[in-house]
Amino acid sequence: MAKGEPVIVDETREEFDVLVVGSGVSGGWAAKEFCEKGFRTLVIERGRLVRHRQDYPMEGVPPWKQEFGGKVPLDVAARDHAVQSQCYAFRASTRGYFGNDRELPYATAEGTTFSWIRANQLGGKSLLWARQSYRLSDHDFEANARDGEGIDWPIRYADLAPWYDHVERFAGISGSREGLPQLPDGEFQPPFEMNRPEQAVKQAVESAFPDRKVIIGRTANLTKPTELQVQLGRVVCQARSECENGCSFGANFSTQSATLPAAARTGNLHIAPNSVVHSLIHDPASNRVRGVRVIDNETLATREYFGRVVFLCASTLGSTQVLLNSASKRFPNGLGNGSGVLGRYLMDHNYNSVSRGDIPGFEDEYYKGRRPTGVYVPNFQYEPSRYRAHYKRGYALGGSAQRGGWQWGGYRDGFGAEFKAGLGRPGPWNWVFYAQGEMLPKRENRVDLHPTLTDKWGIPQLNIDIRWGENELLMMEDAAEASEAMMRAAGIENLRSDVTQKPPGLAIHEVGTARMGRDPKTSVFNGNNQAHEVPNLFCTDGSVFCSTATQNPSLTFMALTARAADFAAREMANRRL
Amino acid sequence: MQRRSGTPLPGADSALPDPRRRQLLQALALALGAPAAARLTAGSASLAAALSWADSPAGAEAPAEVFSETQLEILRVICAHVIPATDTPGAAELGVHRFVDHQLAHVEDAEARDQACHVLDALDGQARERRDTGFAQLAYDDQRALLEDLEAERNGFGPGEKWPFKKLKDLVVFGYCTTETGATKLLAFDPVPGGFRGSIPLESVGRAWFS
Ligand SMILES: Cc1cc2nc3c(=O)[nH]c(=O)nc-3n(C[C@H](O)[C@H](O)[C@H](O)COP(=O)(O)OP(=O)(O)OC[C@H]3O[C@@H](n4cnc5c(N)ncnc54)[C@H](O)[C@@H]3O)c2cc1C
Repeated sequence: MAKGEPVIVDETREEFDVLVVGSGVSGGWAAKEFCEKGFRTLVIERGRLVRHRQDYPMEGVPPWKQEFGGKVPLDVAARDHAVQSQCYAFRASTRGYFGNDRELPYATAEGTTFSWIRANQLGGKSLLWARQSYRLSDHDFEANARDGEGIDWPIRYADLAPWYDHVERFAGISGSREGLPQLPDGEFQPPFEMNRPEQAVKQAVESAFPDRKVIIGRTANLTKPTELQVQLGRVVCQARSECENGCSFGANFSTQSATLPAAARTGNLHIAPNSVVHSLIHDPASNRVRGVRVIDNETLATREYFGRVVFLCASTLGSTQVLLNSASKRFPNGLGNGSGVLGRYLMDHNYNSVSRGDIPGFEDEYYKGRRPTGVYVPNFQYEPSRYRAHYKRGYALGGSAQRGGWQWGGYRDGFGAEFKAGLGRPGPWNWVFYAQGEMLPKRENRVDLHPTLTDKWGIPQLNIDIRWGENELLMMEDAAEASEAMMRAAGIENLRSDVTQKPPGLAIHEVGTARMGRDPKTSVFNGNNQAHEVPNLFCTDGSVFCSTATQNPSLTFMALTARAADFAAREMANRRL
Repeated sequence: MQRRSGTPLPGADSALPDPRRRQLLQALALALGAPAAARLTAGSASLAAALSWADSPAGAEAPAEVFSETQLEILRVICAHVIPATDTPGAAELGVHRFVDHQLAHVEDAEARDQACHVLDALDGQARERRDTGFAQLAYDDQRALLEDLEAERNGFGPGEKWPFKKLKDLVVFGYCTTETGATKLLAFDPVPGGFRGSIPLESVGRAWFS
């Protein structure tokens, strides 16, 4: 086999050092870390192979080369993507990376809705993500303990800080250093520029509200690639806004652009595509998982893969589904579920407040390029003394200033040459703020396996039962008011807010359902992401989260994965695993 | 942002017929250095395809799916009023009326289709009432007067016509701006900006970006 290429595996009796289930953000990191440490690693991925560069068919295709100008026909969306089409990033050019809802059914408890966004292929949702990358702080890790919601995280910022450094250096995060207690700085590449109206809003908001900051969004797009990144074939971001179509420049972080090439060049990387993990094989005598049972994605044939250690990285709900479906005599309620909390404390971020307005002036100002990030207001209610009286915790705000253009031109009055010329001129500047609110961990927000419904692989469907609580609703009302107050202070006019009740799921930051903790009676995994009850089983995706915090979670999945891989490698070296 | 200067790709001018393709390759070479740009476009099926783009007319001669011939003709006339030919071709010449029909058939819902038909019929009805002839057969100025009445909700037109008309106009604008002519001639189209700059004088572009 040539170095630099992964080995594609179908049937094999080999016992690998490590099995990694899933190849998204978390699984890609597990593969890279283990391969680089010299372990023979098999990544088991339910979906098809997506090869970097070759398999990005819609990259750079201009709208006039797309039948509907880039839109998706309604009948296709309704038939195949009833849920996925609710995602803001769903369009003709990205459709191929989203799941087909007809093939991926799930149930929801009566009176509840959850929009489960899936990207089941090599790379998972790393091909679609918006790359916003923020560290959690000790205020986040301590929140549960301080205000009595959920259980205490078993780790603190100091445990993760070196691993945040590690993953940021490799992934390439652009951002500005701010010295904020609630949003630790990282190993940043140069920040993207703010435009002039954004700079003006920043100044106005920060002087009117001393507890608030308007900073440039931290994003996994290269602005000054390192030597290693260049070696891996990654180059500086061209501001094309092709990220979600597939970026041949490798300028954004994805499994394809970053972690897989690094893993592949060790010669240790094996990939089993089209391999739907049905359940884990647990040996009660040794109390170890020995491998996984797989059903072929296409042929429905069954096979097994074996390894000394298993890393579950199948995404929050994907991993929990595998654990629930791995029940046995020893573990009647799901593998490693002696605590009974497996499936419980499902959370998502709440994006149900959007505020907009018009920015007067700056007529002669413009920008060049499509910046892959916006501006960001870090949570300013990050500790109990800063909470509002009527609800707990807080929210971050994302936003940006842009010049309107032809996109709304059809709603302008007028005809003829003058109307046409108007379309060719940029319109006034406008502002948007959208909230990213915390959701409290609640026992009743949960998933279990549906007693009768299965999917085409014969796997019981997840039955999801989650709703926003009073705290979340009050927070969104307040976020809209606070957004408007900041916009007013910045001289933004014609303010309008929408506080909606879109169901959980659409933030695509689902976390919880197999949380980590110190006590095996109240948690599934320990502070090293190791199952309390099955020592060679690890899970490093969002299912282990104890709270949502306000930050986009994927950078923390990366750091947790790298840290857990380091722990597991040492345990293997010491023959404890 | 780093912008390394580089030489254009070797052989770029002779081998590549389309001037925009050459331009794009040069932009890539400038941003990345020529060898990296060459490697990139060779390894990426889609980038290679994107580089070979050509004019593709928005309106093929396909039969209408939503509109009757009369309605389609009215829409064609509307296209000419909304986005006429100037120094760049207009919406009617580019077949945007057919694109709108196709879009309504597949991307919009039944209500949008009904409303679009309703407003076209309403224009025709008013034309017959005022001049005893179809909208498309009216003199140009009379057509314009009717359209202006429609947008102003007066002389027989109300909100029930205005808002469906705005939706239709929106589709015309979308159809035009996503043609190659609209996106690259009326607007400024920049497939590989080479990085982001937060502040440039508007006059240095002179037009709105396509995106
Ligand atoms: C449009 C969009 C924007 C986003 N923006 C951001 C953002 O800005 N910042 C941020 O932090 N996060 C963002 N996210 C979320 C981010 O993508 C996820 O948090 C991240 O990808 C999760 O990583 P993961 O590896 O746990 O799961 P995934 O990336 O979903 O990967 C899971 C993989 O496991 C595979 N799998 C699942 N079940 C099985 C099974 N039974 N057997 C075998 N394989 C299986 C799947 O096919 C998939 O490849 C966004 C997501 C989307 C869709």
